[in-house]
Parts: sequence; structure tokens; C-alpha cells
Amino acid sequence: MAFVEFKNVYKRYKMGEVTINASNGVNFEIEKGEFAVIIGASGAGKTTVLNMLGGMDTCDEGEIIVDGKNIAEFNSKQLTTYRRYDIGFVFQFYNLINNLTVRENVELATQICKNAASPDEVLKSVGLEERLNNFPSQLSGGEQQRVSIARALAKKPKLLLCDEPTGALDYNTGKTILKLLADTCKHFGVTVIVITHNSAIAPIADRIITIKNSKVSSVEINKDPVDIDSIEW
Amino acid sequence: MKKAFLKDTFREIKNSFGRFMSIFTIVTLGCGFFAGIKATMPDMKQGAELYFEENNLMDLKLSSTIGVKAEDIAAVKSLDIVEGVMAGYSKDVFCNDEGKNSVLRMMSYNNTLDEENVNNINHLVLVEGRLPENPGECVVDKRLSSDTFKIGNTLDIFSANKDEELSDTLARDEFEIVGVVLSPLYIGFERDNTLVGTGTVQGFVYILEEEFVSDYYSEMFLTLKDFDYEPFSDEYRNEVEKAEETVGEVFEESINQRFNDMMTLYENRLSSAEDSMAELENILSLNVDELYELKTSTEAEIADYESKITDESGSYEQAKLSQAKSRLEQLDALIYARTNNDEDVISEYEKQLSEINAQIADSKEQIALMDEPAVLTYTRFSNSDYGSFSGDSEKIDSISKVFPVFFIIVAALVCLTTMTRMVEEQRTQIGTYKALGYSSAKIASKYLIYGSLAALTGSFIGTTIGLQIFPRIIYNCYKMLYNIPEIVTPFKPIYVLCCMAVSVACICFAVIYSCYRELSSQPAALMRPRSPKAGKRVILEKIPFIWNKLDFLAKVTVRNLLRYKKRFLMTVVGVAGCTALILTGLGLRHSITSILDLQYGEIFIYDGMASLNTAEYSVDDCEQVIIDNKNTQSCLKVFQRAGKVSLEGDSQEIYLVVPEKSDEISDYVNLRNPTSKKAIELSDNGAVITQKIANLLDVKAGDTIEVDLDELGKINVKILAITENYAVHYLYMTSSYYEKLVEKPVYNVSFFKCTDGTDTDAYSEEIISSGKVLGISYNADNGENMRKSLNSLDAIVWMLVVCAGILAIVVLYNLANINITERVREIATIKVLGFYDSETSAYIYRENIISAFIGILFGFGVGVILHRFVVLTAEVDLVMFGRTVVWWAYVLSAILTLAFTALVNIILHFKLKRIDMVESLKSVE
Repeated sequence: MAFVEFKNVYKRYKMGEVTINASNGVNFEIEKGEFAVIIGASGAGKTTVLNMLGGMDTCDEGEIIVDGKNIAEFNSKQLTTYRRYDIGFVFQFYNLINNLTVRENVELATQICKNAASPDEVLKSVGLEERLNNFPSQLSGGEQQRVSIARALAKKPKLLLCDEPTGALDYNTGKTILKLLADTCKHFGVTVIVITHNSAIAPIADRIITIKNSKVSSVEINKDPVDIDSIEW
Repeated sequence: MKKAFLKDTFREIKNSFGRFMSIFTIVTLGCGFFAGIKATMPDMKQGAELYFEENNLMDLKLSSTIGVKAEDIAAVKSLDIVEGVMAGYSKDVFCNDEGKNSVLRMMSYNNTLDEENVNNINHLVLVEGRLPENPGECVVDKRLSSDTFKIGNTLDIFSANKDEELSDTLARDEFEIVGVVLSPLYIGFERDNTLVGTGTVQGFVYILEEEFVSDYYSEMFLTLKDFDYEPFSDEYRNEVEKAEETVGEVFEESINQRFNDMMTLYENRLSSAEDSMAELENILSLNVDELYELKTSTEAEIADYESKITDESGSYEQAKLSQAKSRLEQLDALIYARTNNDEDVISEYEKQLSEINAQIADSKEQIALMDEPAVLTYTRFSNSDYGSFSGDSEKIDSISKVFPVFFIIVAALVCLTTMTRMVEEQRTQIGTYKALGYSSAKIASKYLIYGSLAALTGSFIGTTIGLQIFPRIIYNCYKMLYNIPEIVTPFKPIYVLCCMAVSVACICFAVIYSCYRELSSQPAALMRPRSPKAGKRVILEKIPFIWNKLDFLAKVTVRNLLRYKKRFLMTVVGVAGCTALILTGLGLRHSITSILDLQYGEIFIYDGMASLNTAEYSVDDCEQVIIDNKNTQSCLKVFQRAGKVSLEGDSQEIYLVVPEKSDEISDYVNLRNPTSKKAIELSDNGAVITQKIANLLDVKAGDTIEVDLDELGKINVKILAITENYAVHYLYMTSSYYEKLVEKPVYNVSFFKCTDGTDTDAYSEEIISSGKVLGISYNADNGENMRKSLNSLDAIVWMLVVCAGILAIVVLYNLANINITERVREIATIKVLGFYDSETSAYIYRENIISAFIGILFGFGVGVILHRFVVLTAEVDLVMFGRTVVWWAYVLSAILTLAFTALVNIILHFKLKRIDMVESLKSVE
């Protein structure tokens, strides 16, 4: 059985009298340790998938299996526990807490986990050992996103979910962040799922899932992912 | 103004209704509380005024020791200043009320006068049943609450005085109770004093006027013409005192006239009796010849009178004539007796002589008994409840000077934060308007309209409701004390307009203050998201000693608190206000009630005081009655009299207390140092003064004060010590020191202690019935009466607590709400990180709880100051309230404040639960 599995997942929103199918029977699988990319235009329904996978939202129908458990059946407390121990989240806008230093932002995550990594070590591994005591406002966008990644990784999650991690960054910085994510996947063996509208980055992934009109339109397995430096957009 | 812009403004209200409501609520609360409490005094006074007017309450009451008769009424009525006059009967009688004798005052009710008649004074206010219509019916005082006085029962009364028959004054001694009434004459608990029984009337009973059989009225009530002064004002008091003097003089004149007439009548009767006795004696001593001689002269006299008498001649001649005629008869009879030696006739005459003699003795006694008449005049102020009513309402007024101010400050702060937050949230919109070319003033007007609308509606509704609710709530507490059935709560446009103006001014200031920064920015800058407020190191981090000891979340909390300084400060102010209000309320209540236990439990350790009838009996005889009673444990003769000390032009009454045995006073009154509680001994070199008057006079041990003892002159008293005391002022001294200053003291009262479990009513009854003691007052009763009047405080304290609670909840909720909306992203993020709901709440709560704790500490400080202020304001010269706040008031106020904080946190918990994690994915606004 695959590490992550979506089976006929439906998510409907009621907007007044109209019901919108944000997920209209989504099916896909991701294997453990893969670097997966979910691609779709804005409004295609990829964020809904991410929300459900990240335990931030529930589905109306279908099964979402993560590491053998059907999280679609979880109640809100179980979902929180799931987010706490199994998921690392990297936000488009970093979502660092401005009032906390870099180290403290990571500590915010580690102090609620049982087997968390040392914040200093994780920050060193993302190359921020010099900036431990700085506040987010003193960092560049790329640096902030690294803190965000460090915060997610420090929890030693089973799944690292990244929502448009390069969306707010410039080209070069974006590239370094993607590289960091790819490296993380390789070195730590974490399953990384990146959600993006930018199809140019597809070649670097092990698996490319394309979403269109709230459905998975194609799943492509890339036997030979290219290096991040060789792609351009 | 452009239509679209207006539309936006009104949609804004609709869309952010919660925010609009929070401004509205706090303004409503602040204005309502302020206006309501402020209006209570005028409303209470106005209600009373209306009640007096409706029931045509008397302005003056006149009575005399020889009653009131038609000619006195006519004399008073002829005065220009008098409008209506009503005379009435009254009689103090006993009735058996559940085993003990109660004194009732039977009063006459005139059912022939209609409501509108100016002479119908002091209308009875029916509470239950109906007014008396037939003989044998009565209505009773509402104060008489025991089962004896239920409607339908028969009331049996009997004479309170053994030497008097009830039938001399009343037609019957059984009445059917047909109704329960109030009388505007008695607005409180106090009834008149009486010379019978325990000395105080328990209640009044009204019966039809014709059931009184006396030939003179007991009293007369009158109202004054064109007397439109407010009944509690100084003006009224001054004018009524003037009228009292004028009317009193006329009344006294008429009484004296009547007295003199009566005296002349008695004297004439006496002299004519004496005349006839002399004549009879004279006749009896004569022999027959002399009798004939006298007969001839008498016949001549008769003829002379008869010739003179015409129709116009006066009664003098008539009397002389009949006198002469009867003399002639006597003479004829006597001549016959003497000539025939008829001893029967002689002895008959001798018998007649002794009869006349007895008559003379009687008349002499009657004249001797006729004391000079005394005239008594009363005003409404003679009943002390009248003064306490206005005093109590003024006390509320002094409270209204402090408490509502808090609400207004807090309301202003809440408006400021709320509007600031609103303007900050709408940065982009402001930028858009600016970019579209709207002027700063116009943009600001949107927020001005928003804020003003909330403030206007809030203050209008708040004052309108507050003016109705608060005076009623407060008066309801006082209703236990006063019989005025309703107070009026008229709409007061001035209050409403002032409150509206002030609230709008406040909110406009808040809006302009918060808009200023945004509006002075460039539109482009406004369109960009404001760079988030950077994190900063706080001072505490520089002290690694403490900082390193804090756990991670504590550090975060400290940073957050100091980051949002304004909000933190405001929470602290709000919470401090809440704690301070509760602390003041509870502390005030304790400060006032505790003095009763101190004064009547610790300071006065004797049970009661008997006033001795030294005018008729010797002091020792009087005291013997008390000593002989089996329930008396001990007693001490004391000379007590009131003196005056002058105090900045005003004078203050002080009681001189001179015990017969100065070493025994400590068994009756605990003389002790107010702070060290060390006992004070009386000494022959000076006096001991009580602390409040010492403070007022600013005297220390060693100083000398001047006390004015009226006819005994002024004395200079050396103060040796100051003693603890809470109510009324006393000056304790030994008899020898008093003798040195004035004269040998004439003991007039006796302090006594009863054995445990003494039935005080029976005890008084036994002692007073001897006639050697005029009255007895118990310290326990005095304390109880004061406690009763203080019970009304409870409700006021509760009202303060409730208002403080609402204040705390509104402030905390509002600020925490702003806190949450401002940090929605942060909260959503930590939720995504996997914080459980309880952890998420705790993350926010810590800040609230810490602010609350700091607020409580500040509240203690403010509360202590406020408490002191209120105590000093509410304290009258006669008493001293406790100055310190009792420890449990701190505990209780802290607990209550925390409870309110907890309540807000519970509400917030659900709000936090509802925050959608998807918020964390959105871009920064």
C-alpha cells in the first residue's frame, strides 16, 4: 500500500444555493520518501487537497490514507495530533511569528513534539546558524522561508507539505529553497509534497500529480528527476 | 456627500456589527450608569415631593398642654400665611400584641372632607382594605405587621394609665380592622414619642373623628399658603421655621387667652363660693333681731335692684338680684327656725356650710393644678426620618461623583482602542479612497460617522434606560426604610443631551487621533501592507537571571504583553477599575457596618441607659428601682448632658459623661487608645475625649477645649487622652473634675447591665411603671436600628459588583477580541503546527490572565484610595467609619475579578476554536 493514498475524495462547499465541488473524486498515491509535486492552475482544487492532506480540513466522501491510517475518519482532536506529530508545513508566506526569534520560532514547534530535533541543529542544516537570535523582520524572504522549513523539519514529520513555497520569493531564492527541499527529501528520507502552479519545476520531482477541474488529470512518475540547477522558468 | 461613500459607511456598520456593538455597549453602560446614579437624588426628592403634595402633608403641627379648641383654630386660621387647617384627636393607648403591651396612637380620621379640600391634610394612603366608614371600624399603620393587626381582626385597646378611664376620651374600646394605611406624616420607621409605656409609639390607628368624646382637640395640622419650596431644601426649612414662629406666637396667645379665661372662671367660682360661705357663716351667727334687720335691708336691696333692672342690664345685676333673693329665702327659713327652735333647719345649714367648704377646697386644688400652658410646635423635620431621607439621597449623590467617572474613563479607552484597530484594519481602503482623490477629511468622516452613530445611539439609549433603571433599583433598596411608595423617574433631556455630547466628543477625538497617522501617509504606502511590527527584545531578557528561568511559553507571553503595550495598559486599567469598584463596595459596606459591632459590642459594654425621673424623686430612690429589679446585674449613676463645641463656625454636640464612681466606668464603657487599644483611666486632672471629635477639633492630649453648657456657661476642659469611639461624641470626666469646672454633678441617668437572657421589653415595663424612670434605651436596639438602615447598602454594593462585572467583561472581551482578530494568522499557524485547542487558548489566555493579575494589583491600590475617598465623603460629622479595607474585601474582589476574567476566557475559547486554519494560508493583507 502506498504511503499516501487518496481514494475517491470529495469535498463540497455550499455557496448560497450553489454547491461547489472543490474535490470531485480525487484519486492518487504517493510512495514513502518521494518528492512529489502537485500542479494545477489557481482554482483547480490543489489547495483543497493540501488542506485535507494536512489535516486542516475534512473531506465529505472517500478515504485519505496516510501511513496506513484513514485520516478522513479522524475527529478534530485526532487531526490535531496528526498535524502535531506527522505533518510539517511550509507556508507560502512563511507564517513566522514576528515576536519570536529564529530559534524561538523553531522551538514553538519542537516544544510540542516528543522526538523533536534540536532547533539549533536543524537551523544549522538549513544554513542559518548565524541568525539564531534574529527576529524574522531582520531576515530576507529566503531566510524566513528557511526558518519555516526548519520549523517544519524540527518536528521530524512523516510528511512535509509545502504550499507554494517559492510563491513569495524571487527566482534565485526560490531555486535554493526548492533545492533545500529536494535535499531534505533525500537526506532525511521525508516524503515531501510541494504544491505549486508553476509546472516548470515538475522535472525535479519523483512524482508529478496534475489537478484540473477538481480532479486529478494525470499522475506522472519521473524515474529520473533532474537537478534543480538545470531547470529554468 | 457622495452616495457610494455613504453606502460604504453604512455597510461598514452592517459588516462589522460586533465592533459597532462593542462601542455601543460600553457607551450605553457608561452613560446609563452615570446618568442613572446622578439622577437618583433628584428623583428620590422629587418623588417624595410629589407624594407630599398629593397627600397634602402638613407644614406645621400645633398642640398644647390644654388641647386645641375652636377659638385657637380660628385664631391661627385668620393668619394670611395659613392655607388649610385640620384639627384632630389623638390618644395613646395600650393593646395586647402577642403577649406584650404595645403603645398605639389612636388618631381621628375625618371622612367628611373630600380630597380636594384644603383643610383635608395628611391624607391616608390605603395599602390594603378600605378606610373606616362606620363607627367601630379602624385602619392600622402598615408598620404594625404582626398578626394582631390583620384586616378583619378586632382590635382591643385599654388605657395606658391606671388613673384614667378610656371612656373619658373614646366611645368604645373595640374596633374592627378594615384596612392598612400609610400616612405621609411618617415616611420612615420612626413614630412619635409618648409618655406612656416604653416611651415610643409602635404605630398609629385611625378611627372616625366622632368616636372621640373629649371636648377639645389634641392637635392641629396646618399647611402654608404659596409654599412652593422644594420640601428638602434649605429654603423650605428657613421659611417653615419663620412661619413656625409666626403661627406659634398667635397660637400661644390664643392658648394663653383661653387659659386665662379658664383661670378667671375658676377663680370667680372660688371667690363666689367663698362669698357665699362668708355670708352663710355670717347669717348663722346672727340672733333673731339681727336677722330681721338683715331681712329688711335685703328686701330694700331687692326692691332697689328690681327697679333698676331693665332688659338691657347685664348679668351682674341679675346675679346680684338672684343672690339677694336666695339670701332672703335663707333668712326667712332661719328666722322661722330660730323662733321655733327647729334644730333640723340649723343642722341643714351647717351641712350646707361644710359642702361649700369642700367646694372651695376643690376649686383651690384645681387652680393649683393648672400649670402654665405649654405650646408645642412641630415641623416635618421633627420626625428625623424626614432628614435622613434627604441625607440618604445625598449620600448616593456623593457616590455618583466617583464611581461613574471610572466607567467613563474606561469607555473612552475602549472606544479609542476599538477605533484605532478599525482604522488600522482599513489601511488599504483608506489608501484606495485617497488614491481615488477623496480628501482626508472626507475619509475621516466615514469613521466619524461610524463612531458618532454608535456613541449617539449608545448614549441616548443608555441614559434613557439608566434614568429609569438605576434610581428605581437604588430606591428599591431604600424602600425598606421609607414609606414613600414610588419615586418618579422623569425623562431628563439635559442629562441625555450632555451625555450624548460628551460621548460624541470623546469618540470623535478617538477617531481623529487614530486616523491621523494613516491619513498623513501617502496612498501608495497605505496600499502596501504595513510592515509587521518587528519583534523586540524586552527589558526582562537583559536579566538572564530571571529570563532563563522562564519556560518557553512564558517568554512568548512576556514579549507579547510588552509588544502590545497600549492594549496591555488598557486591559490593566479596565480590570483595575473592576477590582477597585468591587473592593470599594465591599470595603465600604464593612467599614460602615463594622462600626456597629465595635461601638455597641466593644466600646459600649453596658446594656442600656435609664433616664431617671429626678424632677419628682431623689436620685437614689430612682436608682433603687433599677437595683431592686432581679434582672439587673449592675448599674452606675451618671451625669450626662449635651454641650456644644464650636467647629469652624458650626457647632457640634458633645455629651459630657460624668460617672459617680470613676473607677467603675470601665465596666460600662471601654475607654481605650484607638491604636494601641490600651485601657485609659479617668483622672481628676482632665477629661477623655472621643476620637472623631478630637480629629475634627484637631486636639491632642494636653490641649484644652472650650465647651458651651448653655445656662451653666462655658468651661475649659483639659484633654488628657483620646479614646476609641465610632458614633456620637463624648467627653468623659470624673465627678471631682466636673465639680472643679462647674458644680457638683446631679446624676440624671443610670447605665445598667442586665443578666443574660433578660426580656428587655418586660424589664423596661417593670422599671418604667414605677414612675421613677422616664425611659430606657438599649444599646442593642440602637445598634439594630442603625443596622437596619444600613441594610440598604447591600443592594448598592451588589449593584456596584454587577456593574463592575459588566465593565470587566466588556473591556476584557473587547480587547481580547481585538487581540484575536489582529493575530488571526498567528493563531491559525500555531493550530497548523499542531497545538491542541486548549493549548491554543492557553497561548492567548496567559496574556489575559497576567494582565488581569496586574490589573487586580493596581485595582487594590486604586480601590484603597477610592474607598478612603468615599468613606470620608459619606461620613457625617457624628460618626466615624472604619478607615481600612477589610482583608476579605481584597480576597473577594480578586476572586470576583478573576471569575469575570475566566468567563471572558471561556467565551474566547469558543471563538478561538472557530478560527479557520485556512487563514494561515492567506497572504498578508
